Amino acid sequence: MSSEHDVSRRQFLNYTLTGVGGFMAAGMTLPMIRFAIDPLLKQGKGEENFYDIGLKESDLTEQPQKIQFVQKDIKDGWYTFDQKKEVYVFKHEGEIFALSPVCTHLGCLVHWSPEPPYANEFQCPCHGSRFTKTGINIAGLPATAPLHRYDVKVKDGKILIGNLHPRNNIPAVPPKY
Amino acid sequence: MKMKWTVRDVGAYFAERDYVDTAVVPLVKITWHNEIKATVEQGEFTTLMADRLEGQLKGRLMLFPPFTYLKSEDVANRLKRLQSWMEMLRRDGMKHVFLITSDAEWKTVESDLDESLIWIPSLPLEHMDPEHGDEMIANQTKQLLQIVTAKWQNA
Repeated sequence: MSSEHDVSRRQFLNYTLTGVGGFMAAGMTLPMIRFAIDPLLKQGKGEENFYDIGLKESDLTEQPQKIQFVQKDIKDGWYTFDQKKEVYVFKHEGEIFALSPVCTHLGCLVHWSPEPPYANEFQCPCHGSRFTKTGINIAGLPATAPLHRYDVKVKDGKILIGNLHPRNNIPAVPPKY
Repeated sequence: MKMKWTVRDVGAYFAERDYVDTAVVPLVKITWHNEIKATVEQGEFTTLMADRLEGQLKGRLMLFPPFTYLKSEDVANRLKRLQSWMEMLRRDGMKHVFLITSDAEWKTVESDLDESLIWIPSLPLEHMDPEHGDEMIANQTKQLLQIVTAKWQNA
């Protein structure tokens, strides 16, 4: 009766429990590993965050134009939402500029004005900070840093807006007015 | 930075309090009986406009939670409560207080509110296509902005 292929009750239970236990352990550890390496997998995607703001390169002027675009998945504290953003886009000495209108002082939105009293400057309605056309802060006013600048690239004649960068190493400009 | 009624923003206020001298308070009427829809529409529009204003001028003004009142509360009583809000805000450093509302009833007591009241008729946004609605809101925000900055300049 007893041959070497016979499986005892004890052995059968041992095999089954080890097998089931193994599956359970794998079920728990695999997602954990996945969570651990997930940020690494995501980084590649994050670098290419360019938005089409609906402006063609041929529409660009020397005068800054205010363009609205929607940025997706903004996180603010606990909330995630799509946010409407504004950007000033123009050409200056052959270079394309895309400046954020958020005043570097306390965050009001600056306005461009081609008219006096502060012609061809960005002005902040809140505390009177002013910036040159390329967004450099004017000395002696509350804002102490230039307006932040977006990466820009042109694809098929369309203007794409990328990440926003502060520019802290540019000195303030003396006031013209 | 933002200036809303949140712990983080109030922290920012304490860091920059010399620059923040303006309070914005939406006035929102509440009812759960008659004309619910019209009342909600007014309140929604009011808070939306206040929010947009804060978005444009967030470094100088603080957006407070709405002052709410029941439709059944008599106007004299509302006024008294609101005046105690304004007294508190002025006493504690707010040079300007802007009360934003779409409820026309406040117009009847406007003279008791020290030129702080900004009344904006609400738009029936639910009947507009989103793009048209956006444009209308942007226009209204611009007007609101002009009223506020003009008051700042005259102060």
